[in-house]
Amino acid sequence: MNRWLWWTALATVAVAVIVHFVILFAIPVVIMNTAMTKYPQNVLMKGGRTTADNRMVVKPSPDLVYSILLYDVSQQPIRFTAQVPTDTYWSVAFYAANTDNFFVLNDQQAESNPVDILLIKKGAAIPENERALVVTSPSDRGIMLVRHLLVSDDQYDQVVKIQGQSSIEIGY
Amino acid sequence: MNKTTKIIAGTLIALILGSAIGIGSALAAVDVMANRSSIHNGPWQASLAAGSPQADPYTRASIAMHYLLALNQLEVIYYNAYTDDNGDPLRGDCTYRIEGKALETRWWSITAYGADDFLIPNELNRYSYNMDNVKYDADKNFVIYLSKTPETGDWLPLGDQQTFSLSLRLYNPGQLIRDHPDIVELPHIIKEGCK
Repeated sequence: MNRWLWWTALATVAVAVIVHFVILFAIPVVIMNTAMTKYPQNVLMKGGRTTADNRMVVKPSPDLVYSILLYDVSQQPIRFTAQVPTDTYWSVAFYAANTDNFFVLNDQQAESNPVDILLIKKGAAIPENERALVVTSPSDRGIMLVRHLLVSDDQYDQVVKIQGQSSIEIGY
Repeated sequence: MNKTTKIIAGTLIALILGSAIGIGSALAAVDVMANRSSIHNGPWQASLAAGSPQADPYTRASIAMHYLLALNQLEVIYYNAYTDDNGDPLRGDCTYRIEGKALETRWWSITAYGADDFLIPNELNRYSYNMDNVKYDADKNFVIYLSKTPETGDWLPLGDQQTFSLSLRLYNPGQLIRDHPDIVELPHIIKEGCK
């Protein structure tokens, strides 16, 4: 009986340790996958003012106007083109399926205006003479988030106008 | 019990009990371990590994739960506060005063969040103050009040929240903040009283 108890306790600890780490590594992936079911894939969604009604992602910033793209580059790359505001903070950030922010470009770092970014999957070929900034996603699926800072309500129309000048294209 | 029954019973116990302990300990450990690897500055805490591929699994899980789609620390440092300057949890039935001065960063904002980590609904749709709309005195100091009922001056409504948290976002923080995020002077959170 003692031996049975000993082996059962040991097996319980082993299962607990394995489950502990499986859950730990699954949390970001599950949360990210859940977020990625809330909008259609490969469609650039342009949001308006951020209010208490915005409940897609925790802790949204009320000072930002967001555009979001839930991307899947497994079949084809995605080209993102956007006008960059010259007088306020702006950034485009890419997140892998495990939530890592693997690339970000802000208004002060952008070397062209409009910016032209080609998002490809790992190992995908880059066309010769490609002029866009090429960003390689470590996972086939992920999220691109564009942040436009809204310093005051007076700037809202201007921010929306600039936001409207951003677009995506599927394929090279 | 014969040998086969013992093996089956032991396996079932190990699977059920072990899974329960594994799930419970993982969920309980996420915030505790992430908090340990965070820097602390008064009531504020920040995970400098937010959004980074170098983040440990506990930090990554905690960020996913509370700060999904955070930017890396060169872009934004996110300080969060769940307590006041005295270490008491932030309560919706209390009045608080945030006192601070201009910060060495490209842009900053302070936002109040409900217990569910979303913006607190209120009639004014007022959720934050930032370096451009907060009122400064002659010495470039500012005061923001937080309470259920309106206060004169800059006021953030707490709605019907029982508890809440604050986020201080520093966009493109200056070198001093990046080098010393744990000792630079950040806004103070002072409890004025509770109902």
